[in-house]
Amino acid sequence: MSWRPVKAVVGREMSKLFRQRARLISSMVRPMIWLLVIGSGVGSMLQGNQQQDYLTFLVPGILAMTLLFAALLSALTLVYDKEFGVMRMMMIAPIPHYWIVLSKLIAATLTAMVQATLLLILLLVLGLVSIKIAVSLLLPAVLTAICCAAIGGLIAVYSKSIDNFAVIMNFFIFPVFFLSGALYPVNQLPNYLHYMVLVNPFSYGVDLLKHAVPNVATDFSVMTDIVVLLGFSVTAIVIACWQFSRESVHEPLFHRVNKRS
Amino acid sequence: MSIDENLQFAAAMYNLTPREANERIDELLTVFGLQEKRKKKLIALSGGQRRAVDIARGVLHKPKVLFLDEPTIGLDLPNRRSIWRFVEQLRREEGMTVFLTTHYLEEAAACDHVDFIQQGKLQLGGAPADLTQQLAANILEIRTPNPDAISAQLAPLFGIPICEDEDLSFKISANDVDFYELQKILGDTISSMQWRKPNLNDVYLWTFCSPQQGDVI
Repeated sequence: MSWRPVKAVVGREMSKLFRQRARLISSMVRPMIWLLVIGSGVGSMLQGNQQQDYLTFLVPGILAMTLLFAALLSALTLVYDKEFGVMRMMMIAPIPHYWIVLSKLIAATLTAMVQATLLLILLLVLGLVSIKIAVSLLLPAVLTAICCAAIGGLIAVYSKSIDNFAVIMNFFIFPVFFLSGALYPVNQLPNYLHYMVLVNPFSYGVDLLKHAVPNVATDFSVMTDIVVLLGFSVTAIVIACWQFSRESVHEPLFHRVNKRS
Repeated sequence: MSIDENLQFAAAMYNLTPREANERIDELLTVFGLQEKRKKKLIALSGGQRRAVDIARGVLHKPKVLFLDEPTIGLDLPNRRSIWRFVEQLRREEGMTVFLTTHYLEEAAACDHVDFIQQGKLQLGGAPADLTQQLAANILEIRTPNPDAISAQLAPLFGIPICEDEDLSFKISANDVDFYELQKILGDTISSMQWRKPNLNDVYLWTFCSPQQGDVI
């Protein structure tokens, strides 16, 4: 097994990322809207110091959000590629099929990290984080990005077409995001919601990011966060690789034929 | 993605080094005369050029076997010819085995072996030269305003012809037919007449649409 095909797949995703500048810029707009609009909106209900505290609280949250959207959407391009023939090109290549998934997930992680780094620079410029915090957020961000890519990979290998996209958005991305503690502390949530937070692997990524920011309350220990994130990521990636390898080369073709008839 | 990037990506999937890939892409694009389009986007190409890039991508890594499923369908003549020249070159220079499906039977004439498939069943197969030789020594084509009469006149000699409007097509197995003499006998009753060696189209027509099967044409 050589690294060249992996490099090619990752390189392709990276050149797509940097070529679509509008998309890259708009991916910065979303977290800024959350931070400035929601942050200020909710903050306005709080008093004095608490307003600033809530903005600080939101920083790891919106960083996690950026990682989630970037990594997950990037991993979902596995489904896009299925629709547009690139997948066939990769599947007939003499590399084990699971390497296609792994390459895509590596690309998704990198994409997420590029966007997260950009966001951190932006936050630095706005004076919302210090350099020390920004740097200490990077490592937790990598683990969170891998976890989000793994979630995306898992969804992608079980989706047949991009028609499911809205479903994925509503049933996965939003619940995963809102039930993670990214926007509010989770320990005061009603029981049934609290359990959902506990089974959501993304919560542990958000929590790990919070650990990197001083004076922000966390819900789990750093060790728990790391163990859950790594445990989930490895399991999800193994399942995604296994499921993807089971699919035969021409299966994506048949879906299209069936859909037309 | 540009053509270059597209082909580089495919080459990397087959583990070609960038240098190998570059040389091979140069070589292939030159054959198709697409060298100056190398940096262009794929969507900027014509249908024929795109097909050429598809084939180039398929043979980047010099496979031993190449499958082509109706490679020239919908292409104009110059593009068809350049694709066939290229496929010939691959067979000759790289010893590549080419599996080809096509509806244009003249394209199959250069094959080592041809199989006719109808309704998913193998009907007839062999080397093109053998198939045409087995069919007949010559094909006689006659155009006449009075096909029924000519058909009736010649059927005892050459068998029932395939009839399309004013055109009659006889397959002639005997080697010693004097066509000049025949031309004199028919004289003014026909408007044209030609005889030639059979090709794969004739093999197809006489095998699947022969008059014995109920004159489908």
